[in-house]
Amino acid sequence: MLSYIYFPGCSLHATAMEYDIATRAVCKELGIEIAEMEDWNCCGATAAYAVDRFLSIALPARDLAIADREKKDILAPCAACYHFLARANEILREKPELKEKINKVLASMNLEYKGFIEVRHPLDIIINDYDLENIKKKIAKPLTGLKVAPYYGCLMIKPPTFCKFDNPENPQTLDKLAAAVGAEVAQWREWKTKCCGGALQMIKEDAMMELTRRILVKAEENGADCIVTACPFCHMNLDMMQSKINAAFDLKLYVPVLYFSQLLGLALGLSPRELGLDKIKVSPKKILEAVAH
Amino acid sequence: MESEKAMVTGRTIKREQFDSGFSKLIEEVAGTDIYACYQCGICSGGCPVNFVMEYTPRQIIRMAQLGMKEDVLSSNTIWLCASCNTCFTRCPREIDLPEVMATLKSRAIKEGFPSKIMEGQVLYKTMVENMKKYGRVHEIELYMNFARKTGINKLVKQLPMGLTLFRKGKLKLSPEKIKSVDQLKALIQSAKQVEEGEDEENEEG
Repeated sequence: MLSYIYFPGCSLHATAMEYDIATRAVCKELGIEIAEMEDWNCCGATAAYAVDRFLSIALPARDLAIADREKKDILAPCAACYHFLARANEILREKPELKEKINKVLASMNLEYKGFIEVRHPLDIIINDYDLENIKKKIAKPLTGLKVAPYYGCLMIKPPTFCKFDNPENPQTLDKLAAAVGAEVAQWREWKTKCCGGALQMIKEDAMMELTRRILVKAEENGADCIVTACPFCHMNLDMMQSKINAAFDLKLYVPVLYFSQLLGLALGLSPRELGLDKIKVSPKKILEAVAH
Repeated sequence: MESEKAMVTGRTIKREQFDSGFSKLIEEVAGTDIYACYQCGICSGGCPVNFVMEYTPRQIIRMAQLGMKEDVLSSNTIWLCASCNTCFTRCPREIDLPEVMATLKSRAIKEGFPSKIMEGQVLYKTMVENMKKYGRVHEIELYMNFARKTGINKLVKQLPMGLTLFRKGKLKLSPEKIKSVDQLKALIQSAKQVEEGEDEENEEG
């Protein structure tokens, strides 16, 4: 049985709670065992290394050490948590002096970073470990007639030195998943990896809105009924900011944005409520109608 | 040669104005070889934020090589880098630009360089304070403190989104505090000491 230590991160406990709800529901349905990490701390995200590089490794190191103690790989759905936990794991494995320094600090918490465990993304686990053929057997409601634009963003697939499970320039896992649930997959090439602006939402909003606008427009041009993502920051910009972008650029974009586990959950026959679909801002009504047949 | 024309800024700067220790420091902290850069510009071409940057990533690397510390640390570029990693993924010389940009941000904070984009410094610093206090990020408090330091109009602008998040039950009123928050504070404190110790080593060297 597939069994992991679950790392929700700060976003999945708050602004991206539907991603948490849907990922837990899907794992339960598929029989993937997950148990939330005890007393986990924030991964540091893009903030920690902008303030202090040692801190940006020490923060995730505590989480990695907890997983080491449990002897289980980490399952991290948030693209940023996945990225920064995997980054720290890679750096600590390569730098024994740094590992020693960090372990001196961790010793006061009765923890030790050993570097035995891996940081995994649920997409990687579902596509590669669980196997798509097994997913296909579990599809209760094929999403026929639905056109999905798979959107990967940045942090989950780049850089390939430590985000290793997909191709950084032409990733395939979301495409494969969308096809496996019976949806038509929009072929929008480079747009599926174009940056949405991420944290610039708070730093330089006009630049972020321009970047996100282009992605939403391209999704519509490609006839997509919805965008599917795996990152809470991308979701925040694409979903929560969509009405503001419409107002600022005088557009009438209507592109629901779903987390990949919400899309998969629908095909597995779970209800919209079980998947937290009431929590997203842009109404998923047209998706639910298409699914209802 | 008495002076070197800095192609990137169009200014003539004197050799003695270069800070040769700066590039060494950046390399040591970021753990990447910036002198490997041969200025091909693939980083700047693929950078999603290049259209609002004062200097492109390629120019920043060249300026860092030359030791143009003040120009680099006071540029808006370092705060606009979204850490997307497109540059690093494509760099034929495998230069880790996101780590370089993050290191430049942390140097600018440490040395108190006034930022043209104050929001960047404030956001990252406030987030780390938030992590230190609770071990996790509490979004409402982060936002309130961010707005307090950058201007109340920020709060007004973001109010509609805040209300939507609140209505959807996606904002937690009280923070989640981890059990070992005191030990985490000690960890952050020791991080500070390690960093300061390294600074001294660098200065001595």
